[in-house]
Amino acid sequence: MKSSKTTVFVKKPFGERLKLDFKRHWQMYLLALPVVVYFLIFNYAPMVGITMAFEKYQINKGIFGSQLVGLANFKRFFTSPFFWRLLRNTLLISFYGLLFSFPLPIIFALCLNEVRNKGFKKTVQTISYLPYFISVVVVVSILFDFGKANGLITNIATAFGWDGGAVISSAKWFRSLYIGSNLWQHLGYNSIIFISALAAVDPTLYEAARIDGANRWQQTLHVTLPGIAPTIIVLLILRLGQIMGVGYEKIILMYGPSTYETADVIASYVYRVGILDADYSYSTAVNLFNSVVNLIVLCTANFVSRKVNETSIW
Amino acid sequence: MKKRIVSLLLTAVMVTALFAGCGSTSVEESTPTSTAETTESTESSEAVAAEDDGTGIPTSTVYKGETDQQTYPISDEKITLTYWYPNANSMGTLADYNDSEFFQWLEEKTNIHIEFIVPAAGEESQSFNNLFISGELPDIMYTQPKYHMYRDGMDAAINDGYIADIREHLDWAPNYVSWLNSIETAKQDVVTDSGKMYGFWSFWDNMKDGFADQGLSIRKDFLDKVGKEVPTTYDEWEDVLTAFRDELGIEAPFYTSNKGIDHGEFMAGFGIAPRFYQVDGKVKFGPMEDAYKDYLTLLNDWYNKGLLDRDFATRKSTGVAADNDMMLNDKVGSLVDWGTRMTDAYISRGATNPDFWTVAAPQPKKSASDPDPAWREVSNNYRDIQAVCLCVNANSKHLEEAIRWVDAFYAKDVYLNANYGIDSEQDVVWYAAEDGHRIGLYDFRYNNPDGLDSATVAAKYWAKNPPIRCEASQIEQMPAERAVSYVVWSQYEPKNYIPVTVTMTSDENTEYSQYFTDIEAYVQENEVKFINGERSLDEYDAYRDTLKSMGIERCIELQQASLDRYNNR
Repeated sequence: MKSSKTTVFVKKPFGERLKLDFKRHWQMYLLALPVVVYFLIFNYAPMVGITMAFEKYQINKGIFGSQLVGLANFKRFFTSPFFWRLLRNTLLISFYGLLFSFPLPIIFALCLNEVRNKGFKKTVQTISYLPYFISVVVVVSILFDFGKANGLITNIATAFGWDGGAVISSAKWFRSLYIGSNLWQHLGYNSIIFISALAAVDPTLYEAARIDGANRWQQTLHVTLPGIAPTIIVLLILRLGQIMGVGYEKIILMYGPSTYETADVIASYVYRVGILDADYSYSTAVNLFNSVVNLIVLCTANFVSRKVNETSIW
Repeated sequence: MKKRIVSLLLTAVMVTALFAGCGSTSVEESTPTSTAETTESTESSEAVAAEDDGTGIPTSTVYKGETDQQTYPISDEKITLTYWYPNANSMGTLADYNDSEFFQWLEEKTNIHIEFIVPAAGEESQSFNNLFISGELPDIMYTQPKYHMYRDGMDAAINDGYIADIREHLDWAPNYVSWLNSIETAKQDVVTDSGKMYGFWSFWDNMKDGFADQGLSIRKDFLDKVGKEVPTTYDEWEDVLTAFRDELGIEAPFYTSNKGIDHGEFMAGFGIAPRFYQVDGKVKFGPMEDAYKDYLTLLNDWYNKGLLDRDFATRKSTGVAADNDMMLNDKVGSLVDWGTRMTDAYISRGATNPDFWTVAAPQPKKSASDPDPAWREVSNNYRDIQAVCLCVNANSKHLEEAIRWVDAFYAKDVYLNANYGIDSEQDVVWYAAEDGHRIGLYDFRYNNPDGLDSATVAAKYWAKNPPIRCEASQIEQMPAERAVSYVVWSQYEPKNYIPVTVTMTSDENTEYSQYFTDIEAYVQENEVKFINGERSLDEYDAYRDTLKSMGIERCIELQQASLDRYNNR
């Protein structure tokens, strides 16, 4: 008589699995511990401060003693005469930035990939990412110098028909200057990751494509791009995650009352109102709004990517 | 075995590296080296009578701190007090204010060491706000209430337990009390609406009614070159500025400020002021007035003609004095400047032009027959009060010593040293006039034998803007032809000025800042646009309507309420 018992593999309960895993790989847990603690202390614990957004915060009463005012701060922000302008500027600067600063490093990496001369390739690569190491303060000072009434950029612009005076104090030029200088500074550095992704594409695929009769352009289209597609998508989603947190330090350095029209973003507004005017609960509310929108954009991008590409961050 | 040791060592190194980030960055608090200083000392001096004259402030028979009523040393044991002192711009090349002869002398006299907390230039307001958040206020704070104020106002700062109410400790401050009794209007100005005392207000020892220490200044050497007189009307100004631009090629014939508008001295001829002002007790807001539109039209016209600084929006200076590099390189023809700069200050700072000389210009009028403007920028010298208030931390471990230390500045022998240099420096830094009063030596400051520039000399030999400032120390040391600028600027009655000691209540302040923060940003933005032409002045009415919808009328009401309360004190 044969036994008709079949071994069924039932998963052990979670707690027991954890204990077993811990016993076997305790070094890994130990390694991860500092980072987890760091995130708990500096990222999760301060979230308690979000309550400031719903209070009329007074320094002497602290976070837990101040009076709750519900959504009053948010209402103040949404009815502020600057609300639509801030939102528009934040989104526009981010989208334009994405539009120009995202594809160009990829194209640059692709071009560099085609270069045969190793020495030339290395030189170009090094020179291209040198500007990354210049401090943003120095870059902005250069922009001010070139953009003032008699500066280089203004003179060139005037030669092409611009008649609005100093370029750096003009609201119409702000986005171009901001994105342009960002591009110049970050192009080389951002292309590094693409260059390394390109190097990881299997060369036998290229051979196979060549045997099939593909020319250079078709090879790029059908072998290279799909090869680095996962990298591109992951980086794109990460970039989208920063959409609302547009690099405000540089904006604060570059803007002024004459350019608030296009330059003032939510983050720089929070800086003025929160730090300079010490209106903490209002600025917390504005920043919370900022973060919530950011989260929505990020989750949507991830979801769409997962459905379309099966590549996503989580 | 070896592998195990190596891996353990590496782990240990990594973990230690993590702790490199930890470190205390606490502001050094006043370190009490003795425990004996907590006794409530009631040894007030003899000359302060205990009765008051109905205001609750004790009377004093001493006039303006003539006799020093503090006993020295203030502390038996050497203690350290922290002092928040936002004067980074005035340090010249001095590394620490304790290098100043005056503070060293004071330390010996009082036996109190001062640790200066000097925030970076331009960050004073932020630094001040941070003091409250960090919860560690320094013992003494040198505040300019117009720029550094607790968010809910003076009364709230006292009621919330941060700042000490000096009213309750006047027996420790006999010299200050003597000053309160020496100036008629002081008792109204130094208290808050509820009668508390926010701190030690700073006074001027004035020569007559108080000179203006800032005003319009124009380059005399440029005027001589183009053969013109100091302008008095707006048309004459336009004439002079055009000559500067055409004949001398000056980049910025008239420097207003990085906001485009001037500080008030230039626009006063239109009957307006930059922001809030009063006319016969009624509060008004400059940008809402019709005359303001005329003023902006003039500036816009001048901007288009190149008579203003084309790059004003990129400068650092906010209205008084222009950026140093522009001044020293002959790029500015006229501006609003400090009285102390009407000396060889710029030459000592390295002006490239050896003929550099500026003279004071009167506030321009629309026509010579108009009455003089009823405006003078008196934020710093109004009814003998300097707009500086020294506050003491209510929770200071050395409250009494801190109060006594500040009070020392109100004694004549101390404030003379603070303004002119210490006693032992007679005939080096100052000399005695026939009647015995001190006069600073001009050459020592502006042609210093050690080669120091005038700012460093000031920081090193005396105290910057001490709680009692002798007007004479600014004026008498100057050669007569330079000192006349003070007279030119002081010919105006500051009738339209709103006193600096007017305060709002906590609730008013909350409501006010809710509207005014955005209004101020909007006004600044639009003024720049109106001046450089980006926005047409035809839209001025639409602009005013937007301001109304943003709540400017409520702000005017709130200001009116606080002014009324002030007048009833």
